[in-house]
Amino acid sequence: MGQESNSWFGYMGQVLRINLTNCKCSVEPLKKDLAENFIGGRGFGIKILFDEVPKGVDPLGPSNKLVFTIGPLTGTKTQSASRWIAQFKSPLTNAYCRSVAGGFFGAELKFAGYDAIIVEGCSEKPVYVWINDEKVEFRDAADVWGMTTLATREFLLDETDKRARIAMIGPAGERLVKISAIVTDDMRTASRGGGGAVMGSKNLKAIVVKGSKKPAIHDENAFDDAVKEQIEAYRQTPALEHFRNLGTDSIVYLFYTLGNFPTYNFKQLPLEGVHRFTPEVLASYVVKHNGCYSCMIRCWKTFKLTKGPYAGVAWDFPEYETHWSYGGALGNCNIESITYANMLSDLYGLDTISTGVAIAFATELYEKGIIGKSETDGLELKWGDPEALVELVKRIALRIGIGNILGEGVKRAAEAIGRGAEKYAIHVKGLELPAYDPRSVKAHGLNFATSTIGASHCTGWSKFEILGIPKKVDPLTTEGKGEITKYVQDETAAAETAVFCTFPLTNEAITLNLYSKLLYAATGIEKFKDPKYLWLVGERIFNLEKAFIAREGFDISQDTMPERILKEPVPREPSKGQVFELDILLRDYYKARGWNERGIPTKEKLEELGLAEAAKELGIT
Amino acid sequence: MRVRVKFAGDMHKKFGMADLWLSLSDETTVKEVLAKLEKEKGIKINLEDTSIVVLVNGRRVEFIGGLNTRLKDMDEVVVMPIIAGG
Repeated sequence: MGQESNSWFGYMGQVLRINLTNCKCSVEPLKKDLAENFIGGRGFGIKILFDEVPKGVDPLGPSNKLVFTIGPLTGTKTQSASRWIAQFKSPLTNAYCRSVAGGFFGAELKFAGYDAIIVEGCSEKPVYVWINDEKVEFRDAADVWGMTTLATREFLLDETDKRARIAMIGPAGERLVKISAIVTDDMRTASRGGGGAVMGSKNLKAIVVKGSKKPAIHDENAFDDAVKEQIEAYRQTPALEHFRNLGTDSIVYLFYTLGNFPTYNFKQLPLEGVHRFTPEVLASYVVKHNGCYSCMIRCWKTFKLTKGPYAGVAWDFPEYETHWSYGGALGNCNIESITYANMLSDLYGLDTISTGVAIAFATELYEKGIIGKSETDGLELKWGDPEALVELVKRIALRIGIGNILGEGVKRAAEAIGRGAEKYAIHVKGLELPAYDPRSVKAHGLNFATSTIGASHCTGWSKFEILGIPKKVDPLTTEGKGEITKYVQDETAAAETAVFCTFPLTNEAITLNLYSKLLYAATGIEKFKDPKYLWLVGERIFNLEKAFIAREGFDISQDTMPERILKEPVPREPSKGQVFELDILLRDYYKARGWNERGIPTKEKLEELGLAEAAKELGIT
Repeated sequence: MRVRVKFAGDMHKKFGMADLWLSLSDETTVKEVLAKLEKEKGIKINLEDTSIVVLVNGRRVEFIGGLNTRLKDMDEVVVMPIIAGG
């Protein structure tokens, strides 16, 4: 058992509930069945949301809840397991969202004594919550409201504890920009799905946390052995060496070569100046390496800019995704402007993926004559224009002019603009696509179509097709892609109970076999001894997320792709001529999932996964 | 015929060059090119290493006929590391 006379191993055994309407908080004991059935992290979050956020709740109203979760290995010496997740009903998609970030906030939350925080209600005035172990204070945030994240950090660390950790919003979240992020003191972002706007709607500027406790470990020797095994696996994985050198920027040019890294709003024309994205060039900007709590990969890099109008800036580098969203997606190969716009996004609190896709969308509308200078307040939008990028990031964050429309995300922006704009809005379920072309990697695309949060690359990364592990699979074929998508989605959901980073997971330096060893040694919970059980929990989590969005009315009609991806053949090699064969792929996927032809889990499937209550709630008979 | 071999990413550093041109007899296979690189240039590509891929005109060689794929004049062979991310 993991629980002996109310003392937990691995877990801290407490959930903190914060009610912003009456500025009260309560500490609830962690339920044993929640831990056993959902393990932690993403599992806790969806279970809490499914039970507590009923159908039809306004994502920006007081009844939406924002759950911050960590896992049973967070804050231990396990490598790469101290990420944290924000889970909520998304104002961008009206579906469920899980948004993950790294840094030190997750570990600090653990040290303060909690396995999760549930934020509910809405404060009348801007507040921040200061959690110092068991002491929780609601503090006036009037002074910091309106500030960038960097300024907020300086003020709040002064007011609390210099060593505290923060999850906060910037001006974008305050303005309820639907593509706004939650940002940590170390500028890591839980950026997808508009979590920043959810905090903003609750008048919650920040959660500041400081802790002094440590999780107890059930079997120290076995745990040490498992951690050693993990470290050895990292050393044996050459891919992680590339990560140490240049983080996700190692792959920018390479993925372009493989037919990902879509260009010009997914037109996929050859990118002029793409050589600027080679590792050699990108590495020349790096001046510092850093990393998350207890992670030897250290994939964070600091870029220094010495040329052009942005010289003098030294900031956390644009990741692969941002080199794409502020680069390839816009036909822009100016690294300085990408880095500067990335910095602005961290300061204002914006999701760089959705923001870049929104700018690419606007640029194509301008090119096609659907919008003109009267809609852009005189700003000329053209491909490869660094200045327009920087200007539009500001306007989106601050809801100025056309930024006010683009900040709603491309789906709503297209509806507002009309005139055929929808054709150029690249999203699934309202969430903008990331830096992969579904036409070039079919199972990866199938994950975008079926992910429970919309087009996310983080919920089922197709290592089969891109890396060729655990088995080499041709990315351009459709056969067997349903099973592969299910595999990577369930594996990711299981690993995100830890909360493990997906980089070592997709490179297979972490496997669920290893996770099982770590988990059992840390918690002593018998069920966790069996890796097969972890796979089951992964599938359970994914199906409960699906049940959450099915309850909101999502079905096969939203498991789809933008018209461009379905109909326009890719014009460049290596995927020249390819489209995304949605119908074949979806049918195969639903079959692999054991769902019906409408893409809804069956009663048998839900019962098999221990989710009979969810079947009942959905009225599935 | 002439074929261009490019070393992308860390391969560039590892082999000390970004690319080279090879003059080959018609229908030379990828396998023969790799053997030639090892014999004449001392460049050994370990295909057992799952973090390295070989592309011919942008397509992974294993999906277009494997190492016995025959090359044509002006084909481009890319050797590069492949890692998860993003």
